Amino acid sequence: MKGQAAMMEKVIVMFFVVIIIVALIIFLSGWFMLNIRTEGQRTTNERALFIMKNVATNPLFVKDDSMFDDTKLTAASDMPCEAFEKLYGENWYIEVENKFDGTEWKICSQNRRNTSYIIPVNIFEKHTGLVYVGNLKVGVFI
Amino acid sequence: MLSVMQVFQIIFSLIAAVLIITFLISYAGDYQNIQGSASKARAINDLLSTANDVYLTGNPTTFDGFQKVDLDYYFDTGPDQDVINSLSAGNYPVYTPLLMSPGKQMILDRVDYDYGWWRFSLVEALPEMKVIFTLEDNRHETRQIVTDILSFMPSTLYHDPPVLFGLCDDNALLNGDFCGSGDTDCHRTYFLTYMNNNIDDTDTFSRCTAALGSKHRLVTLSGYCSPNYVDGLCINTNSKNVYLSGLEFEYRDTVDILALLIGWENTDILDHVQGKMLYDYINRKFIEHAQFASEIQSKRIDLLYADFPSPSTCRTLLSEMKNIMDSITSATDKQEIIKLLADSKSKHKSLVTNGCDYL
Repeated sequence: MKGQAAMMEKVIVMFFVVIIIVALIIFLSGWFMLNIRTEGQRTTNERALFIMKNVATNPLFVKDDSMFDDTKLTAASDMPCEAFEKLYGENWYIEVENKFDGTEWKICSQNRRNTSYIIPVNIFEKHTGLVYVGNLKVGVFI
Repeated sequence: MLSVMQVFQIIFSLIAAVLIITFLISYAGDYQNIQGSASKARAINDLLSTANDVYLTGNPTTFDGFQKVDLDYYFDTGPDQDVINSLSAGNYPVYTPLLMSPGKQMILDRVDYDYGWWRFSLVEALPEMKVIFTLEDNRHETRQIVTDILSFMPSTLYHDPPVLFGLCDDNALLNGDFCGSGDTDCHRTYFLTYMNNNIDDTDTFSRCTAALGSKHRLVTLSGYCSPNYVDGLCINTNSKNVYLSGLEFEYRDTVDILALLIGWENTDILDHVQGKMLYDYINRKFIEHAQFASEIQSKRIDLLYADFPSPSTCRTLLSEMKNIMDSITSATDKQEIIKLLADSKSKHKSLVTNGCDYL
């Protein structure tokens, strides 16, 4: 009887040791997964910001930094998305909106879950020489 | 005397302890491996992020994120994908045009080709190196090739790791303080000044036979270059062919030399010569970007055309510009594209001068 009690004592201690080990493993794995998710989000954010800065300073789209040219935007938005994806990778989009008349230019735009940034920009109208206020939205699909 | 129960308890305890310890050791090992891979992945992502920053700003910077991780990696520039490949950390796509020679510490800088209406930029990532020139052919035009190469190399006077320059004549290696830097290192700025002030057509150089270290990269400019004429990079100043590792390349612009110089004779795990890989990669990138830009510009010219009366100088110039753009889009040869881009640059200047477009 005494021996059985001692045996039970050991089994119970073992049980708690296993519980502690499992809890530790769950904690470490969870912490690791959280790190991976944070890293993934950081990469997505950095990619969206890079595309945003690149577009806002690329002479193919702008007259000056952050001042888009409407003719350049029209020409670029007429290009197939695959042409952009070949050079800049997949799973991103750009939208520029003229807040004055609501004109929109969209490149690779899709209705999918994404992380996006919006910044105010200027839009130069080549035909009239006027400059309007607009928004640049850049997103990366998740 | 031990009872049966006590023996059973001891055996039970031993088995349980061994199982737990084995499991913990195995888990700790796996966890360490995963953490190690995560650190390597973070280091590669940091490199690509730094390359993107340099691409956007043009400011040179030092990257030393590989100093703390033991990472074996190479730049895999296949026809379908351009990735940084690491056996222990996976593949990471590279979208920014990048000329990289792997190292623990690298200097990153941007190189630009500005055509007015379009700009092609690439990022170069270099470890510590000493570029040694031998001017077997020492005409003014040949020295201009050296000057062009130097203008595309980073200045590391205030950055690490150092990218240094020197001259080799026969068995003499002039890579000390001969350029008057006041230091034992000959940085780009001092080397350029030395070249301009001290080397002229009367100086003669013989084939380099000096003992070179692992960080030296010998560039020979000669009218006699052939696949196995000298070690290192050999630029034939007559035929405009370049030789590296027994392979022959066309020399069409300075980026061709830069790609070979940066990739050098190093090989990846599949024994591809990195110089050839980078040469093919950057030319492919250049053509893709040029054709993409010219297609957009061609569509834009269609929009601009209607803004000007017929006939007018602007319409004529825009038509000519559109023809050039369409030729670039359909061209397949880099030499032809370079010529067309040079034409487009002067045509864009005319458009600006005549008030048809802005700078």
